[in-house]
Amino acid sequence: MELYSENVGDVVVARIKGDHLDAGTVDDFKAAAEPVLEKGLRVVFDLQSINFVDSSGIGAIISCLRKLNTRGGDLKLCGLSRPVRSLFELVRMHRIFEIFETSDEAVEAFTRS
Amino acid sequence: MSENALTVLLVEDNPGDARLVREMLGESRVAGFTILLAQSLAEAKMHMESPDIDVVLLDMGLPDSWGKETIIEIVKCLPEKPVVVLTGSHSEETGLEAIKYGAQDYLVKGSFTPGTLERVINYAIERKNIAEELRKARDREVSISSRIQQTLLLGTAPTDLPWVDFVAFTIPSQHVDGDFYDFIRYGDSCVDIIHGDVMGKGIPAALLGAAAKSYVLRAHNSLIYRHKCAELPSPEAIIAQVNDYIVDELMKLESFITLCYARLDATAGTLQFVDCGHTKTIHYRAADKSCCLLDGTNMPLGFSCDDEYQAVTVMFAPGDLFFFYSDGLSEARSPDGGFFGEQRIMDIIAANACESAEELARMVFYAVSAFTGTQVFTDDMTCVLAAIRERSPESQGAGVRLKTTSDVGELAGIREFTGDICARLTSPPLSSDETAALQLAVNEAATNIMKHAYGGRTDGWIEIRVFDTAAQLTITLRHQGSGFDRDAVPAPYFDGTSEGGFGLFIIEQCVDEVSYTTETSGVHVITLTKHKPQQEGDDSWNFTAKM
Repeated sequence: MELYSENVGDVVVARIKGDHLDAGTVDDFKAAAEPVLEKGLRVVFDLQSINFVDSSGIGAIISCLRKLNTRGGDLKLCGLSRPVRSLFELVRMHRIFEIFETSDEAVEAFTRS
Repeated sequence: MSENALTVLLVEDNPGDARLVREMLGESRVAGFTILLAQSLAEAKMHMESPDIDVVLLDMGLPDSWGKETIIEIVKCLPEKPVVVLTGSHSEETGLEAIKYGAQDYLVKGSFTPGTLERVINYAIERKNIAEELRKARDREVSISSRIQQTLLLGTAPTDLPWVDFVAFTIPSQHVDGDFYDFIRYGDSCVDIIHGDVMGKGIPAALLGAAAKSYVLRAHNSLIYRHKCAELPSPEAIIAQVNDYIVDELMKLESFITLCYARLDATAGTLQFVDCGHTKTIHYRAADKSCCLLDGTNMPLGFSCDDEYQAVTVMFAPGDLFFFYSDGLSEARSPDGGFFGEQRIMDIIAANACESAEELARMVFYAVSAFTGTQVFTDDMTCVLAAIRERSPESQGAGVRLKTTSDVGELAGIREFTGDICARLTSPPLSSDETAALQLAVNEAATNIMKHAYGGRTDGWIEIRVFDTAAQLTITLRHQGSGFDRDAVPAPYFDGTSEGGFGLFIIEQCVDEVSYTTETSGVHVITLTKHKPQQEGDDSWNFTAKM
């Protein structure tokens, strides 16, 4: 699992490369996310290529949010496929995360605030 | 010669003795006698077709036969004729032995008078008549009993279910018992099997058995009405109701009924049973090619008014067998008094499980015949065999079953398998959202097994099975990791402070039913059930009991 990140202003946009984020790939994801979170306080995860996330995956994403929160930063999400979006809603994480259609919208939301 | 003259077949090779008997009968004052003389067993047999013979006077020592063999042969040839044995011996034993082998009476040569001879002949004829009447009465009882059994005690097994073969059979004894069985079918995926045995014998036991069998149906109807058809009445509720109906009668009659009420559910892949002091059902598991006994804890019906009945659930798989039997089988005795026993039945089943259900039933019968040395038993043997069919390769497709290791790397394959199953479902298909939800639930359940039951070990196994019916889709995940207590796991927080603990919540949100069970073999099973939307006119829940 790899994260391709780029800076858009002071926002770090990370595209998660992979098909799924489950118990089998979550450790790789965490390892790959670690340096990305060091790059800035305003981070966008683009999950466009991800077709499936399970509870382990969502736990890892929550963990990233909490790390940024403790440093005063924030994490926004975009590009959620329908089943991934459903899972976020199921465990009510759509209330915790700000979720956007595209990375541009997510970046814009950061720059507005 | 008077009209009521008696015809005597005198079987005697000694001319002197024969003459003596002739003379004595000639002196008889009341009835005249017609005497037919046979000087050997072979000659006596030539008279066996004669309807005129009223009595046989038999010398045990003939040129072609000697001793008890002579009596046995004559009784065999002339079963309806009274036989009086003439012995040359003064020993009472010889005479008593003669009676044991079927003679009506005996006389010791040289020690009887004409009057004695005539009286013995008349008594022998009378005694034989009474014995014949008794035999006919017994035959009538057996015939009535066997009619009761066939029409009132034994139900008809469904024959057209695609997933199970039933063989139900009775090896009748000389006397009817209160063995009974019945089947209640719900749609195509669920059948209740009732197998019971009334304490006692004869017509009273048979009638009680018939009553119990009809009470089961009555309890059924009453409970279904109470539940407004929303769900099937549970086996324990049915049995509690049956006991309620019948306990007073049983107590009055000082009888009781042992019974096993078993629900075979193809969708869940489970046998749920309430055992009331009945013989222990045998479960043959194809997976490890071995049999085990299913234990129940309940008392027989008729012991107490307010018994609480408990059901036990076991999982089954294609190729498995369940064998219900009356104690007439397990307690059949060999000539030296040993019991046939459960172990022998289990051995036969385990060794021949690949045979058809009919063939397997025949083998059990042959084995018990060989063990007891007879085909005429003192107790009825009533057996029901349920053989879960192996899925044919066509219906099995790419994976109605998937076995993987406990490596989290397998999760993608497990999801693919689940998605594939959903895509191949026939009626009605699941929507893509429902499919995604089911994939998620299976994924979470498998993850829990890998991470928690196996503690992250990757060398464990997980087997996933799918059972699909019109009413619901059931997926079981079987494993041999550690067991799990659902109630010990707290709910997660949904405010962003919990990073884990969502798995169980997700599973419970994605499917309609989740259960965690453990088979007697120690295999743990997570069962996920998704109800399908019921279409109008769907009759899969219709109550179609067959009498």
